[in-house]
Amino acid sequence: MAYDRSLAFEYNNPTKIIFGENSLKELGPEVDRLGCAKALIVTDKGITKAGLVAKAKDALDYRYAGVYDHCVQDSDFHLVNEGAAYALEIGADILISVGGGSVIDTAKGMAVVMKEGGKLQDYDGIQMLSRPQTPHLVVPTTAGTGSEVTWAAVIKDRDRNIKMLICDYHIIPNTAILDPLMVAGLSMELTASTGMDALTHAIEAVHASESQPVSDAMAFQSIRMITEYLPQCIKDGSDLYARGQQQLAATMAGIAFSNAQVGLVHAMSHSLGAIFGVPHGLANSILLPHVMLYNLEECAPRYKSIALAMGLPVNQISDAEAGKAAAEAVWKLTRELKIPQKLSETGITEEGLLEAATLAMSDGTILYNPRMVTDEKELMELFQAAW
Amino acid sequence: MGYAYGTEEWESAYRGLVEERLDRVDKPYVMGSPEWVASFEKLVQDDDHYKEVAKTWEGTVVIHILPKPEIGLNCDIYELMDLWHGDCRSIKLVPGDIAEEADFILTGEYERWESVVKGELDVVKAMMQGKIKLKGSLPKIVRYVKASKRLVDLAAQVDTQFHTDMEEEKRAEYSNWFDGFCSSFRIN
Repeated sequence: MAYDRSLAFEYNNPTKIIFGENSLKELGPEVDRLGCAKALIVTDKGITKAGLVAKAKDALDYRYAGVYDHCVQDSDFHLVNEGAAYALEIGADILISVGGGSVIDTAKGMAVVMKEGGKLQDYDGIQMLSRPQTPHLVVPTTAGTGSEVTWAAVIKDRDRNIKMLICDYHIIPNTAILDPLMVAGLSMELTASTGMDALTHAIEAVHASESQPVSDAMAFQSIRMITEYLPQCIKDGSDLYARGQQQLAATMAGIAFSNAQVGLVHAMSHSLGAIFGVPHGLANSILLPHVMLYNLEECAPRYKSIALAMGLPVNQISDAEAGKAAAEAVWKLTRELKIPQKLSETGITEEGLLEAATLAMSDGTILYNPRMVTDEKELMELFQAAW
Repeated sequence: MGYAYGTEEWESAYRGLVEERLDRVDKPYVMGSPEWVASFEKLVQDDDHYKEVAKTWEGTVVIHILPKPEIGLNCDIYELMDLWHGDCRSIKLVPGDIAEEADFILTGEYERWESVVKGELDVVKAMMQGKIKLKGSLPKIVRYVKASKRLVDLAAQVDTQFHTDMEEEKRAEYSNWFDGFCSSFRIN
């Protein structure tokens, strides 16, 4: 696997990462370090019920100013604007998101509205912001999204039934606290689907057209760790070492794709999420091996490197054969994790696939797929293969 | 006082000035000058490839070049492209408040646009890296990437003089003229 002579890239990774069991205790000092005093916790009711908000509140101590726990799967503009209004009302000067991708993305949007005013819809665009936003500290409670280190927020526009992708360096969180104790109680189902989300991020970062050596280093190490530790997390959810390794792998995959971008798997899964509400990690997991086979002709050497990172004995076979082996290994892993293999198992209708294919053609991530997609028909074939 | 945008007087004076400069000014044309914009407009209007890839496009696009007094560019440049179903109705310089109403606004420093026109910087990559800011719907732009790239290819075909390559005396002379033009047409 070689890089072109014309290789030119930028690498951006400003988030401070704090890792370790009980690292949540660093929450208060981090708020101080960022020069803030009144912290609003952004979360959802499930996280509150699981007792994780109480832990964050304790760690914040006198800096705690309130909690906004109305987040739902697939955050939307309404919630972002409502949350920002509440934050301003109580005088919060920093957001602490405690949750998974939807919670973190909600807080990213709130940080913009709190600083710039108006509504999040006013900032529909790419890299429109020109100054740092409201400080944002993340405590992930899943190990997959990578949103704690990325420049993107996916916010649903329920009026138009699409997922808006807001991309800006100024929404990258300031700090991520990765405490394995905060993911120890994650259900096996969510551990598996969010874990596959992380693997998809890592693999897409490798095959994306903007891949580069620094993000590749993060992506390949992430693939190695997920292959080894995700099955262990499923086998024994109380194994904090495995949980921690998976957490790190997810964050590293986030750093990788935030720089290298993602491709067709995400374009297609964003559409399924917008139209049918299919959980992002699950849609990614089902679509990933199909897209790898679709892309194989464009990036077989890269897939051979992925196969090697997954520990497959592919040294003596061709790049194309190794690429197929990598896709097969993804299927084998999802079977081992006992998560759905087909889109038909997720409750979506076959009739709706054409709408999803059309919508996927408008998703920004499709621009970075290594194989150019010419029309909806190609996507329909892929959706039907995954059906 | 100058001409008020939106009036027949403004339109007639602008078109008259462009025609006069196309006759009088020697090529290469200074990037962002009225004659440069008019040359670009003609290339887009005559291009079958653009017509094909943009045949369902609807909407106005503004190229916004930020001022850079160090190179004699004292005012913002807003190039408004009125594009509809593969046709290029017009491309012209407009005042900032008019530009703000466009469906898409791409804003960048002079050097970034110079790199784009020279073919050194991919405009989509530049947006993702924050070198050019996009205001407007990304999904719509994504569906028309081929059209965007074709517009950039056509801009590269204009015989262009960059401010950064101009001799100091010539740059000062042009800068004075352009400041007066902006004032007359209330461009800034």
